[in-house]
Formats: sequence, structure tokens, C-alpha cells
Amino acid sequence: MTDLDTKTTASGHPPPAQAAPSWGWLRWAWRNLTSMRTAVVLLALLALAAIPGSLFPQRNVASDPAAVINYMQDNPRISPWLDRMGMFDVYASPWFAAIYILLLISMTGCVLPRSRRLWQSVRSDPPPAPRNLARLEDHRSWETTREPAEIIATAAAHLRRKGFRVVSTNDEIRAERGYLREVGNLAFHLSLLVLLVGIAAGKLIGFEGRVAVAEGGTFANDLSQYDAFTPSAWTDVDDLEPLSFTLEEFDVSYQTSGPNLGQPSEFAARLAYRAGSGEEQTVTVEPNHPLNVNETKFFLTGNGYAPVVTVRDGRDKVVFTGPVLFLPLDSSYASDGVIKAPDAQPTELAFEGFFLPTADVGPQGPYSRFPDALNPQLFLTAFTGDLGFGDGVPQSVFTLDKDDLTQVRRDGQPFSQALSVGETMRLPGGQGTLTFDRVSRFANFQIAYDPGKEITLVAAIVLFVGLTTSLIVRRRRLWLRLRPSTDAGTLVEIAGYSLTRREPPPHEIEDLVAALGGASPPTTSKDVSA
Amino acid sequence: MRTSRPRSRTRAAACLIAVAMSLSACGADRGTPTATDGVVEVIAPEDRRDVEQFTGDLLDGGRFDSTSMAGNVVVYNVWGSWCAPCRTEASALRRVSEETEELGVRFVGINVRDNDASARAFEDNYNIEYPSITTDTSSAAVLAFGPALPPSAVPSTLVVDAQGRLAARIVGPTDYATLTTIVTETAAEADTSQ
Amino acid sequence: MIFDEQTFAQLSNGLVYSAIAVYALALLAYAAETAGQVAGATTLVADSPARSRLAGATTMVAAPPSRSRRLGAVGTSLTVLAFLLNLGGVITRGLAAGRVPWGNMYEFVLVCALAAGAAYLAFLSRRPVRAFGVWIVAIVLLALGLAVTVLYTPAGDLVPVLDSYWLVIHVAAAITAGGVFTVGAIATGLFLVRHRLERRGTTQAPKGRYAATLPTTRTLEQVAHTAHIFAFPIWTFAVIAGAIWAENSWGRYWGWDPKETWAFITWVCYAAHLHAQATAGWRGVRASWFALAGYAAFLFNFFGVNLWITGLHSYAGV
Repeated sequence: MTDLDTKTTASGHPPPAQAAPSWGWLRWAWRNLTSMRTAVVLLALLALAAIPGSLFPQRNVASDPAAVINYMQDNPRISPWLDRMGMFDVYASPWFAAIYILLLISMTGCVLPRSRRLWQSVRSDPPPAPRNLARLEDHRSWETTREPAEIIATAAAHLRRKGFRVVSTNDEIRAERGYLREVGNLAFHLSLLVLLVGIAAGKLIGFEGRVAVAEGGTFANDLSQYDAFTPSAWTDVDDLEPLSFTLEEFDVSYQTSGPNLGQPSEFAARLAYRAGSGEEQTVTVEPNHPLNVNETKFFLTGNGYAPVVTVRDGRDKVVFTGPVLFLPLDSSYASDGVIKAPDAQPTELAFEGFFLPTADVGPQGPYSRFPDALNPQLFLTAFTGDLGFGDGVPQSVFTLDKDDLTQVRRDGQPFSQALSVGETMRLPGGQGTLTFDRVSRFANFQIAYDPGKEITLVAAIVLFVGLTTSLIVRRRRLWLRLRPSTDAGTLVEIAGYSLTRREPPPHEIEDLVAALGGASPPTTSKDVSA
Repeated sequence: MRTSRPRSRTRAAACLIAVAMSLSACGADRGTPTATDGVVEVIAPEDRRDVEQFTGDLLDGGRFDSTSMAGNVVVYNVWGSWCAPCRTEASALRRVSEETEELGVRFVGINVRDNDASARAFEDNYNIEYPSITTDTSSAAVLAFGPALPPSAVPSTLVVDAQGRLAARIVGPTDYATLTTIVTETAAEADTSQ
Repeated sequence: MIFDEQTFAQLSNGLVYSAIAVYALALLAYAAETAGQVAGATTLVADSPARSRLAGATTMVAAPPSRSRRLGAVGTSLTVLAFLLNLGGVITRGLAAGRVPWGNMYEFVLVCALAAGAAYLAFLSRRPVRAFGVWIVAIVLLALGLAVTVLYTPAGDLVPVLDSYWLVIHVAAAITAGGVFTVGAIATGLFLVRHRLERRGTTQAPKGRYAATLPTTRTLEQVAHTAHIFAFPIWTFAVIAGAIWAENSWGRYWGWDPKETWAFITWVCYAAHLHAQATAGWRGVRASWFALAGYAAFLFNFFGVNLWITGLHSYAGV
């Protein structure tokens, strides 16, 4: 690879050298790998290979962690095959890696020799003029009686001022401009390698995590406190940033009128946090405004309701009091969740149901009319028996293991009740009660630590600047030649040549002609050949 | 960020694998990292690091200050009533705490991600007599072990020697044999050094 | 105040509908011009393709009949007018919402149509590309029609996650690149059409052929190339700015979200195109297909991903 705008259609590698026969095939392979044609094919493959990742659910893509599991349940026959081909992990699959690694090798194999050649050409003079300048596209000539030395000096000074590299003899000037183009081109390609280093650093040392905290709840940055934690290969999980916070308040507001009724207009989580052994500070975390402590960042990515309930058991002893996270199911924040009281006696208690922030009853039954908590209600059913904690197997806090649970019934029907704030649900037979104390909210935080980020950012900036430079700067050459003309004067010839596909800036030659006081209608090669 | 730490890389790797496995066991649904199998790390006296001083409120209403434990071997247990493996190790903890009390060993629970009512019901159920720091004031306790080795999972058990340095960490549920060996050995060190 | 937000919102809608009406007239004028040229093409082609390639910037091989030329001029004037109405619609929309007017799909399409119109007019002022007019206007008309019928959203505040200055930067860059890519794609498509004609090297007049009315392949190739090398860095910038915003908002700069994936595919296709243009044997026709693939990926990212695939960008609102 790869000047993106060259006139030459060579394949971008130096001409083949004579090689020892045994190395022949290796050289042949290398030459082919580093050819522009291979690069184009690999780029096309890379584009194709990226497509399935957007069509199939992917593991480790933050938007929906359960997407792959759901897809596999819905498509049990093809899923194992898709999985075997890496379709749920496209961007970490060996075949995807093979393509971009080959592409980077191909690119490096081409860019390094080019860098050497650029270095050489910067150190050497612009090449001598072709014998017949009139054959070049931009050509001017006129006769003058001015002194040749004076013409050369004026032209050289003019071109130098315009930023050309100039070499002059008694009767010839060679000038060249636009080396920056190749510099930009090389910077662009090499920055891709640096970009990969940055990405790799993040993938090897960084981590991503998730935690949901109810209002009034605390979080300490220790692995034990995360809901989910995705370490990288070399993440030191024992060396997380010493940091803790309390979610003091979570403010949400919604548009209560207008065309976008119910659309959220504000999310703000007020945290009291303490970093290391420092003082406690207050910070407000909002979307796009994370809490950043030494590059460990806390992003507000979600929220929901956490109704506060109190559960009393059959002995009228309080066995649960606090907020319970209910996961939102739709944009009106109808949510579902479970409440577990494994230490209730004489029987363990569990509740399952949903929460409606603005409860209303429609033809399909109860639903939430608005996302804000205007008429909050809890709809619960109850279970007794064995929650299954005894066997030591970790459980999700969002589901009940109903194997050894019995649904509480009254008159043969499952017992259920809708609770407004302050109301109490009394289980038949004095097995226990549940009181809906008040509504609180929880905030979901995405926690990320990516130490390669700065490297990646710098690489991306160099990439952009290099790319732009290589596409904007036009590399071109200009020659001036003096010859004695027939009638004792001097014939001045000027010609330009662009090394890129775009024409050189249009006024460059005219400016030089004007600087030399020459004025003749342009003679172009087409006119000459016609 | 801290630079060096008193442990070998292999132990760290073993722990990391255990934690990674326990995480995957919890799946995509919300599950706080709860280890199902304990990973034991015993630290030689010369490699030990200090645990930071911390305070917290106790479930029974008192106030805890770690400096009041100076000179005693202390076993800290990070637990929650919602955590099933915490229930399997509860009786072992209770038994070791009773048996080693006369050796000067103190037990302190650190209740995390819980509510006080559930925590108290748990303690009643399993006859836990030693005090526990409440969830709301547990952050300082959880982070205090960071300079040595953090708890990393629920449950975790951390043994601090008489000089206030971390002597052992068990990530995941422990059992009677493991815990009693570690605790009595740490307590014995204290006697010989005095 | 007379000019409250409600008035601006209504004014914006009125301007957009006017723009659609005027674009429709422009389309008629351009179509009539093209039809006239195709019918008159017999008398025009007296030149060989080889000569016209040398002549470079020559658009029409010979002067088209003056009536269709007049129609073309009318088409251009109407396009300018429609563009200004579109611009007015976008500005008043911004005033109505009190923010940059590219916060949802409807507004995005509005501004993208504006960018495509601007790119076309900018090229027209320095290159003989009036033959693009009929296509540009058709695409813009289609986009605006889709916007007011399917995508319309009343003016309002942004959802909190979009409330960032990176929205201004990232989306503005994506829109600009999209507008110029559109001109590039039309130039490339017409290049392929014209190329088939020139490849035969016919010196006889191809009677009634649309391709004969087009600019030479050299002109088309140059316009396409200029458009692509202008838009490609802007697209690159849009992707980088998007990554920075994603880092700000979600804590990771790249997560292979469908929108990110298709932006990447678009980028890779155009990169392949530019490399193919510098490869022996690929330059010209084969390289053109990469550019068209890139444009297709851009369009899919814009419409397909928003409508069919759910991802983190789905809040963009349909």
C-alpha cells in the first residue's frame, strides 16, 4: 500500500530483485502479501466479515447481555452451528483476527520500504527536467532579453518563497513541493498499528463492570460489590482503585406535556464519594458526565424503581426492610422483581410481581401510563416453602427458584394483591405480611477502566491528520529551462508535473510567469500535438 | 496505584480464575460475584502488609473501630443474607469463633449489599454471636484490605494477625478444617513472638 | 413575542413542504432537459471518446439544443431555491427546538438532504455536472418525502443521553460526509454508465442513448475522486468523534454496536475504493464498485440499522 491518490498504478512494492532459488517462493509470497492488490482484497474481506456481527447478537456487547442466550433459546437448531463458526463472537473470532492481522502485515510490509524511499528522496535533489518540457501538461514558453542569471535568481527566489525545494544551475531550475503528502500517508498507515496497540492495551489490562445501586445504597470499588465484571486477560482484580460512594439521591424528570410526553428530560445521580483516604466529596453523575477517579470511570447508563418494603414473618418479626430492585420492562417503567426472605420463620417467604409507577387499568389489565411515579402500585403474589439457599448455589436476586416453593392460595385461587404506598398485604393463615413503605429509585452504573485509551486517542488523531494531509497535499514538480533563442534573446520554458491524480493548484505556473515578467498565451501539450 | 504486593503471581492467577469462573456461573442475570469454591492464600509473616484502620456501625447498634482489636488475631468475614454460599459456611465460622475465643481471636462480620433486618434474621437463624458491620457503613471495611488483598467476592474470609497485618485470605466459602488450621496457626505466631 | 417556538415549528414544516414542492418542479425541469438531450443525442456526438478524454473538462461533446439547455438552467435555479427553502426549514426547526437541528431521524434526514443539495451546487459551480441534477434532486426528494411521511417527529427536547456537544460535532461531520458521498456515488454510477459506452469506442452516433449525454468518463472520474477524497477524511473524523462521544457516554469508545459496525464497514469500503484506484487493473470500473458498496453501507447504516436492528443507537428515534 498505498498512496491513495497516486498517478502511478504500480503495485506499491519495489521491483523484484534477483534472489537465491530456495528463497524464491518466500519472496514471491511476501511480494504478493504486501501488494496493493492483496490489500484491496483484504479490505473487502474485512468489510464482509464485519457484517454478521451486526445481524446476530454478540457476546460482550453492552446493549443487551442476554441477547445471545435468548437467541439460542429461540433458534435451538442453527445456534450451535452459528456458535461454532463464531457468529456470536465475530470480532473476537480467529477468522476476523486473521483478516486484520494479515492486513496490518501487508500494510507494514509496504509502508516500511516506502518510508525509507521517502527519507532518501527528501535528502536528494529534485530530479532533472525531462528533455522535452513541451510534452508535459502545463507548459509555458516565451522569449526575453533579460539576463539568464537574473531570471534564474528571480525564479529560484519566487519558488523558494512558495515553499518549493529548489536546485538551480546556470540554465535550469528543478523544484519540488508536497513531500508532506507522503509523510501524511505514512503517518496514517503507521498510526493504524499504534491504534491496535492502544486497543490491545485496553483489552489486556482494562475491565468493564456494572452495578445497580438503590438510593441510599453504597458501593465500594471491590470485586465483591459488582453485579457483573468483565476482566481482561491481565486485569489485576486485587488492585482496583480504592473508592466508595453512596447514592444520595437520584433525580429523574419527564416531559409532562407537549408532543414528547413521557420522554425523559433529566437523569442525575448525586453521589457522595470518597477516593482513597481523601475527604468525602459530592458529585452529580449524568449521562455523558461520568465520575472519573484516576481513569476508573462510572457512567450512568440506566435506572429503575426500587420499591421499599418491609416483610414480617409468622412470628411478626421483621425479616426484610429495604429497597428491592425491580427491572423495567418498557418505556413506561412497568417493572418486575422478586422479594426473598430466606430467614423468615416458621416458613421462608418470597414474593413475586410487578411495579407500575403510574398504575391504570386498561382492556389488557393493569399497565403503567407514565414513567414517573404518579400513582405507584405493587402487584404481588406470595410463596412459602424452601427458597433453595441451603444447597449453597448462588442465586439471581431477580428470579425465584420455585422447585420447593408453594404459591400462597386463598379460596383455591393464587393469592395476589395490589398495594399502594402505605398498604400492607397479609398472607392467609398468619404466615406473614408485606408493607409497601415508599418508592425509591435505583441507578445503574457502567464502570470502565481502559488504560490504552490515551494511546488510542493519539493514534486516532494522527490517523486523521495524516489521512487529511495525504489527501489534500499535492506533490508536484516544476522545471524552468533557459535556452539561447534565435534572435540573441533567451527562450524561457516552464513546465509543471503533478505526481498525484489531481491537478496542481492552477495559479502556480501563472504566478511564476508573472514574477518573471513573461506573458505569452499558454501552450499546452494538446495544442502542440495537434 | 500500588506497586508491589506480598504475594506470588501464581496465587493471584489462581484467584483470578476462581473469580472468573464464579462470575460466569452467575451468568448474565444480576448476580453479585459469589464464589462457590474457596481459594485459600496464606501469607508468610515476612510478606504481610498492614490493613488500614477503619470504623463502622454494628448490626446490634454499637460502633466498631478496628484499632480496638490491636494485639488480637481478627477474622473478618464478608457476607450477605442473600448469598447462598454464606449459609453453607456459617456454622463453620460460628464453631471456630467459639473454639478460638480463649486464644484471643476475635470474629467480625462485614455485611454487604444487604438490609439490616435480613442480616439480623440471618444471624438469629444461624446463631451468630460475633458482631457484624452494617451494609451502609461497610465501604471503609471492604476497602481497608486493599493495600494487602481485597475481599474480591462474597463470601470472603480475611485473617489479620496480632500486628494488624493480613495473614490469610479465603475467597469463597470456607470450611471448618481450613479455617481452624489457619486461625490457630496465626494465633500461635502471636504467642511465640511475645 | 410573535415568533415563539410553536410558530417556528410550524414555519419549519411549511418551509420543508415548500422545498419538496420546488424540488419536484426542479426534477421535472431536469428530467425534461435530460429527455431533450437524449432525443437530440444523434446530432451531438461527432467526437471520438479518445479525443474527448484528452479534452478533459469538456462536458458535452457538442452543444445541446438551446431549449433543453434552458430547461437545465431552470432546473438549477429551482434547485437553488428549493435548497434555500430546505435551509430555512432546518434553521427554523433549530429555533423551534432551541438546539442544533439534528437530534432525531427526521431532522437528520432534513439536514442530510440539505448537505447533498449543497454538495451538488458546490460542484456545479466549478465542474460541468448538471447531468447529476436529475439524480441528486430525485434522491433529495425521496429523502424529504420519507422524512415528512414516515420519520416526522415534533420539535422537542433531546433525550438526556443525546445532550452533548459531541452530538453537534459527530453528527454534523457524518451529515457533511453523507452529502458529499451522495455526489460521489452519483458520479461513480454515471461513470459506470458512460464507461460502457466509451469502452466500445464507437465513433458513430449512439442514437438516443442516455450515456451519450453524460460528461466524459474522465470528468466523471475526477468529480467522483474529488468527492471521495473530500468526504473520506470527514467520515473518518465523524467516526472518531463518535468514538469519543461513546467513551464519554458509555465508557467504551468502540463496542461493535450495529451503528458502529456499519460505520466501520462504510469506512473500509471507501478505503478499499481509494486503494483500488491506485492499483493496476482495478482502477476505474472495479474500484467504482467499492465506492458504491461504501455508499450502500452508509445508507444501510442510516436507514436499515435505525429501523431493523436494535442497538444502543436506537434512541435516535424513528
